[in-house]
Amino acid sequence: MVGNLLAGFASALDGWGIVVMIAGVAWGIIGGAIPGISGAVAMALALPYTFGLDAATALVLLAGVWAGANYGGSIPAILMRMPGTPGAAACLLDGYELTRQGRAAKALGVSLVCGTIGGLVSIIVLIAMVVPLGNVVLAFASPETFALALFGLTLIAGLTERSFLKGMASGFFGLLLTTIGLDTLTGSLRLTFGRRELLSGVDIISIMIGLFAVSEMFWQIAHPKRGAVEPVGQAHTAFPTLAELRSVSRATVVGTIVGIIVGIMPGAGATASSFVAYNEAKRWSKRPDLFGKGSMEGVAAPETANNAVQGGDLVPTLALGIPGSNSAAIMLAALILHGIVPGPFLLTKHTGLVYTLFAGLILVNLLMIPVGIVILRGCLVALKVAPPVLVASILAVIVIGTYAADLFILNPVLALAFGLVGYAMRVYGFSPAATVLGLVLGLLAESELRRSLLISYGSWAIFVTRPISAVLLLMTLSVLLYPAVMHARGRRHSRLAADHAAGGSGSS
Amino acid sequence: MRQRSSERLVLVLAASLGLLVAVLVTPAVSQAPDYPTRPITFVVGFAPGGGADVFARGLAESMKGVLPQAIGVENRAGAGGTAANAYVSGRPADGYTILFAHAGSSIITPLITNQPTLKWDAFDPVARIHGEEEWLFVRPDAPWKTVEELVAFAKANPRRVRVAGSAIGGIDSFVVLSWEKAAGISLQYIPHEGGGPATLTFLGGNAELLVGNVSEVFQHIEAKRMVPFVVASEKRSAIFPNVPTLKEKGSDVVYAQWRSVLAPAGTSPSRIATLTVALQKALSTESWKRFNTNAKAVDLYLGPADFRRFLVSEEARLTRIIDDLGLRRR
Repeated sequence: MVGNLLAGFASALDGWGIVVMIAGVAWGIIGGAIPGISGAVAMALALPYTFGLDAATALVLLAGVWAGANYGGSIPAILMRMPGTPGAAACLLDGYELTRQGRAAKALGVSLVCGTIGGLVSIIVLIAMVVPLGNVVLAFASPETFALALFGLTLIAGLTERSFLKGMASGFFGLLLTTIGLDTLTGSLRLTFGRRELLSGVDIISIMIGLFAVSEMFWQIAHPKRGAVEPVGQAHTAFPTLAELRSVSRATVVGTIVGIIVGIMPGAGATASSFVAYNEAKRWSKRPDLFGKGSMEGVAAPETANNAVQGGDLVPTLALGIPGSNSAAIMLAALILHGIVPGPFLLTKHTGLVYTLFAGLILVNLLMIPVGIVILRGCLVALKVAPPVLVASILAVIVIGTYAADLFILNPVLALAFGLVGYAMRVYGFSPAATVLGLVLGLLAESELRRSLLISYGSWAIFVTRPISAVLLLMTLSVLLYPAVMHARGRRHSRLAADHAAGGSGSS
Repeated sequence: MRQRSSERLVLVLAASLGLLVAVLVTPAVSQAPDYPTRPITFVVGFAPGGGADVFARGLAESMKGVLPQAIGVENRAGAGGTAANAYVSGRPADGYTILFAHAGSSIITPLITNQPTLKWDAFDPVARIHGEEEWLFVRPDAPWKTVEELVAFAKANPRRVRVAGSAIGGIDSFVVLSWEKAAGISLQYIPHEGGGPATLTFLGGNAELLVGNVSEVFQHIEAKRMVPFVVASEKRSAIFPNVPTLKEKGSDVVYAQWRSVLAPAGTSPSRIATLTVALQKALSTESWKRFNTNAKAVDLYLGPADFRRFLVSEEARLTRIIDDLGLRRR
């Protein structure tokens, strides 16, 4: 394997290899940062340029775009509360708080370094265990994916500290939005109001951008002093120190594990992994109280996870020839267009090619740091722009970006309308983040639930008789009950303490 | 001097006459030699990386050098493929914007979503290109060795045999639903977002049958993880000639996942002819043949007139099935 990998490195670095990789990573980061260009779209735009290249170079180029886009989405999320890709939505919860506190470059640096670590570790796991993990993929089916989505939805409880009821209402609003569109399981139309644009459902990224970014811009317009980003000082452009990076190591480990597992699961991808990782990092953190108020760990965990998904996604892609995500599907399309049939024999029939891809994946993840720093330096200029100019420019970019993605005029309208909705939610204490969570996990939860029940001939027992699904549901249940139990225990403790104090004072 | 002025008169007259002729004749004459003078765009109604997208890109690649202009592929995913139909039908009918269509996007989805203006007849058919046969697969440990055994089991145990396939409204689901009707059986159809996820459900042991194309699972057949059981085609397939057809087992279920090219309605016949000539040339290139073989697809070329006749009968047949299944909105 080591020999194959060394040959892979030689082949990946052959000729223009390094230039191709740098170009791929740079385009990926920029594409990911532009709202409306997801990782898969950025890869599709690069696809025509790969025809002139040999298959290995083409794959390495696309791998670079993929890795770059996974990271790039977090740049506008942190700087402007605007997720460039759905996978970056979780990181803005704390990332944008850090920007408001004047620590934008720290957040961006953490995202870059942790994303790179997540990507690298997942690729190493992929290289070491692609064949055994390929069989693990088959143990995950609809019941497991449903249980995972449910587990992710428990984050709603964590996102709402003031009113649990308002949090649930926000989450269910998101779930409701996902029911719009052509139902793939029955072919029936739901809540489309005769609009063609709604046939494939509402555009999730437009709504996300509306709820987070547009509402924030409206907020800054309405509250010019409180909401505006403070003038840039030296602090803004200071990248994280080694000690700061070490302080997020626990969140990075959590994010990597979550990212790889969720990546391997069919159906669930970068977005689900980043929310689950955020939730888990909070649970395992020494300072969970900082989450939502500008926690470095709250940036590190989701960003590690959505980059670590890459290795997981490639497990079914390489071991079975079944793409683990839209991005992985484009890698397979490139293979097919180069005359290579993907499938379980890819590893044995095209060993050289696969190992060149492995080596290329390691290299592009390493290249993310230097290329990322150069691009970040440019992006930090945005902080120096006067708030009114910045707000106007961001709104313009949002309108153009959401329109350009599908060329549906409905999408910028949705973004602006949900800007108002988000604003109102903020005023009345509802949680836009919970709505987004419902939105990204709702469709997954619904279709996997219904599919599970078709597989089980209608029996709900399937969720407890399958071990992985049972464990996930048990975890979900314990997560839901834990705060209630702690709360009750806490009350008993304080009552005991009060009794004790009362008794003590009485005796003295 | 005199001669020169008369010469000038003749020249001026000739020039104005020429100009007049040119102005009058331009639309008719300029087309054949002047098309295409700029790049042509192939529009795909599905996301990059899917079957329709790969097919469009493979064909665009094979047309390189056949036409003097480059061909770009543009993805306009959404609305079950009909977002692309809407876009292309609104483009000028000049032969520069071409739609990639299959039965789902050009007949079934427009019918079940009540968008008659986006059906195939809102376009000018250019050509049917190729198609993939529809198969049913079992795992090697399946208890049924023959179609008759499976049908007998399914009759005795309604809704027991699970079939994994792609979404309701796609050709996969039509194969299963039509077979149920023809054989008088009842199966448990499990729809998925695409062939890949359906294959995972099947390989993981969560369905007894898989319905779909060979291209997505060929290596799994070679790896002996699944076995082709029966094919829903008119005649036995050249890929697995030992596998029977549903038709010879008494169920008249014939489908193919055909793929085709449509142009906006009103495109001039000469431009369509230029396109069909170019397509025929592209289909005989080595790169297309290799692509088609790898895709396990069957050559199903039909020119504009034959393709139109096919679409009329295909629509009538699919409409009957859609109405039988109650899928249509009213």
